[in-house]
Amino acid sequence: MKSLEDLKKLREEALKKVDMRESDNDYRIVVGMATCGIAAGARPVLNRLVEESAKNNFSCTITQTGCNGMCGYEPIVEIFDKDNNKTTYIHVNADKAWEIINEHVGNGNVLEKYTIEALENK
Amino acid sequence: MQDLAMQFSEIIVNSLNAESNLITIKIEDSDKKDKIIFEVKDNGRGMSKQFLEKLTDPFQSSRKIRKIGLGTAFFKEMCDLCEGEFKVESELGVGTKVFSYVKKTNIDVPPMGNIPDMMMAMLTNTKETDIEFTYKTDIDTFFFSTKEIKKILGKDVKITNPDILVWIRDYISDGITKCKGGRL
Repeated sequence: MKSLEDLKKLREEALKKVDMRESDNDYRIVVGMATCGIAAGARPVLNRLVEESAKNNFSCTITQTGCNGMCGYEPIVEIFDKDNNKTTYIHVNADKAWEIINEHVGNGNVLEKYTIEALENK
Repeated sequence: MQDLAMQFSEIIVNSLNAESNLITIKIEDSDKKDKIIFEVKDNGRGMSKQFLEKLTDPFQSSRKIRKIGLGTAFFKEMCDLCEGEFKVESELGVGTKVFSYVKKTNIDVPPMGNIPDMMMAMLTNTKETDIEFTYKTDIDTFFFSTKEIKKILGKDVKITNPDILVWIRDYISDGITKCKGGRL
């Protein structure tokens, strides 16, 4: 059983982790969580992103957004870099989310094969 | 919408988008009452009478992109299907209250789904809206408040820190398991 005491320890660890990084938020990850997103399976995607980010101490924040009008492409994951360049990944599932965050946020490479540009006309 | 957790997130997302700073969520799973009760209260911008009247109309939405909103329409359909009820009270500038339940033994009630996962997803909002969450069964009650968590975390560590989010999910999961008498 977890207790709020554990949280205090976790807080200390989290502080150390942030110190270890050069900067806190190199990337901003946004997951669509409107009706379309939820129905298409955005929640497992968002959860996998949070888990992976915690496990690997990735320098990113993960947030949710509403419907951006591309319901047919949900679950959609958008990744913004420091300069606010946006990469849009579509039809993401939990496994793809794992690949995307590790490659894009972990290694700094856009994972072309899952982007909207690569998949749109297929 | 395959499970109740998905349905619930729909309603909570509405509250998150209503500029609330406190959302109170209550889930009661009771065999005695033969009901699964779901209540949400927020102190967001609220809705006008005219909007509220057509709330579950799919062709009305506060969304700017296009005027279609299926969230509450789906939710009401599910409640009706499962011998339940879906009721919304709202006042402009004060907030909104949602009260709903389904009959637990109705064959059409979707499985509960993953409530801790849902809660974690709801906490990843940029405004860091405070959420109070109560899970009640006939055996026990679990209460969780982001205010309490934030107090422990202080200013330096955010509640949206992934390590913290994962911990909160497991904490809620433990709490719910306890309410179910140790069964998952």
